[in-house]
Amino acid sequence: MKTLFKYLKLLSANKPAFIGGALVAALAVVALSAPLLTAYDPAGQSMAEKLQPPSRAHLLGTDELGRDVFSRMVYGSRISLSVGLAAVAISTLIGILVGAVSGYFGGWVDQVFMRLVDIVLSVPALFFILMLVVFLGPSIFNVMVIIGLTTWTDLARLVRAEVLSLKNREYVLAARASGASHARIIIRHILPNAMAPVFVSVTFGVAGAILIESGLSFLGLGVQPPDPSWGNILTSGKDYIETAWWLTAFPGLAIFATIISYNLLGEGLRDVLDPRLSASKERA
Amino acid sequence: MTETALLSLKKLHTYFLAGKNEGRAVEGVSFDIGSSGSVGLVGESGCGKSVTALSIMRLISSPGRIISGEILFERGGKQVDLLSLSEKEMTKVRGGEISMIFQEPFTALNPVFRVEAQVGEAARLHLGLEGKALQALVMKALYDAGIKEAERVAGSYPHELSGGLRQRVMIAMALISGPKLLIADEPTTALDVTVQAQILDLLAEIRVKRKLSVIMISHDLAIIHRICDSVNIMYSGRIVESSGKEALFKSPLHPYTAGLLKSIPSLSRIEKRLPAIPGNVPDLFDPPAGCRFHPRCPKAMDICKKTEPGESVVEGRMVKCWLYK
Repeated sequence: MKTLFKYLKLLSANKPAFIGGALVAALAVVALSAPLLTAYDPAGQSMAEKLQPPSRAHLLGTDELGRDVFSRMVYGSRISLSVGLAAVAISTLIGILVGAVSGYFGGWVDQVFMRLVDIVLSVPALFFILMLVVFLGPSIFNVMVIIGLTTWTDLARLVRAEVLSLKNREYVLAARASGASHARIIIRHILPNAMAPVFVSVTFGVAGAILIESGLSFLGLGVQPPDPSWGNILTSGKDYIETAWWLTAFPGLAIFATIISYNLLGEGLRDVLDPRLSASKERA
Repeated sequence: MTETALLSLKKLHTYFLAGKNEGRAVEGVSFDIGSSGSVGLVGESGCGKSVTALSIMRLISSPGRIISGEILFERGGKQVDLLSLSEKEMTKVRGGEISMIFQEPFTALNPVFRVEAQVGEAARLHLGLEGKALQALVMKALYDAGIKEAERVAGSYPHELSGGLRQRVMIAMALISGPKLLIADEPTTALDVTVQAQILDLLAEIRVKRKLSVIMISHDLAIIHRICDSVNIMYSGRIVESSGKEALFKSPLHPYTAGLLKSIPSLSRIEKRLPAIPGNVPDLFDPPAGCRFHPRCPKAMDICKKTEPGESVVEGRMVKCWLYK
């Protein structure tokens, strides 16, 4: 706990990280308290009120079916965030597993896993994702899994490199000498030391996953209407971009702000957690 | 092998394989250690002491490999060859029956865990303890390792402790689950002299109190003198002299042993410059022919360059040198 507070303190002293963190937290609050924030049903249509500009009644206006844009965006944040987080959870799990096993055991295991990484990386990500969507069909669950299955490679390489440098530390040998099994050594003794860069990478990963989800939904291959996602709100708004700017401007802005805040947080985390960088700062 | 041997190494060979070359780090090492006995392994860096120790624990990692030999260890009244055990059985031996402490207490403790968690690891693995019982045992282990402020140390991270305290923590860690044999690989080399003396006293005391067998690895004969009953001198992967402590210090047989003894500073022998053994330990991948020590030996003869000496027994002591044939 003591160290956690220390890091939180360092993190809040880092301005970009503080802003990023605050925005990320605010977004999470918005997503969690969606029903409290808006009186309108995100799917509730009202043709009488269609395409209204922002007003007191409809904070961010209404779309071509008379649905409240603010309400749709608030509910959309739930989907965008949960897709982002779930996708990253999947890719982190795979990445850590592959990276740790690869780095720790080396030899042919390492060869097999790293060639697998090369194969995944050699196929253009978007092509790969689109192909999987076509095979599996677009749905929230499939989008989560597909993004998770295609974005673990960088983390796997990162974790492998960390484990490679950690596995020959004397404390690992000491743990072996006290009778710990390979699995226990990887999980209990090596991975906790490799977590700092993983946290950073996960933070950037969430931003990336949200962006991919928005892109897929924009293309109509992600979250399907009537479920709102920032990406598909953009799509339905693009036909009215000349007459109803609020339909595209706000979801676009939301995506932009979310990505920026996760990236700021990620950079801040890197400054705080990466001892090599922070050491050079102290000297300066 | 005597009847009472706890551990008995028989013609252990551990090689490091690099392509077609093999580095013969340990070649035909045999020695016994009785229960509550203490044996020293002495030699310069790179003569195979640590590799011997890691071979006993079966912790040699690739490209190193135990090629042949037997490591007989007494388990439940029977002699078992550790080399024939499964990896799973071996994890029970490690830390449970044979423990090891390392040279660098600075790097042998995991920086992200409190002392408590690390000392408790072996007890958790071997005795299946958790919670309060585990905590109590950890405190006792720390206390037994001569740490007076056990509470404070238990809650600290390794970087918050001094070198001496860390080595005591290592000792607590190694002994918590009550092993029969402790392998100490240069346990005091990284410490300064006063702390060194304290740690050695602690080891000597624990040894007697627990009837623990100790294999002490060091390049420092003075340390060996304090702890061990018998000494094995290693050179280039072989034991070149094996003898009781007193006899070895009084009259070394092998010229290498004599050289090592002469290079210990002494107050009674004032010299301008401490004599050193000239040259370096031979390359394991390309050792000299004949006796491996001959290029550095002051008493080298023609035969030393051609043929390797076998074992000779002189007054119950083993030596490999042509001088005693």
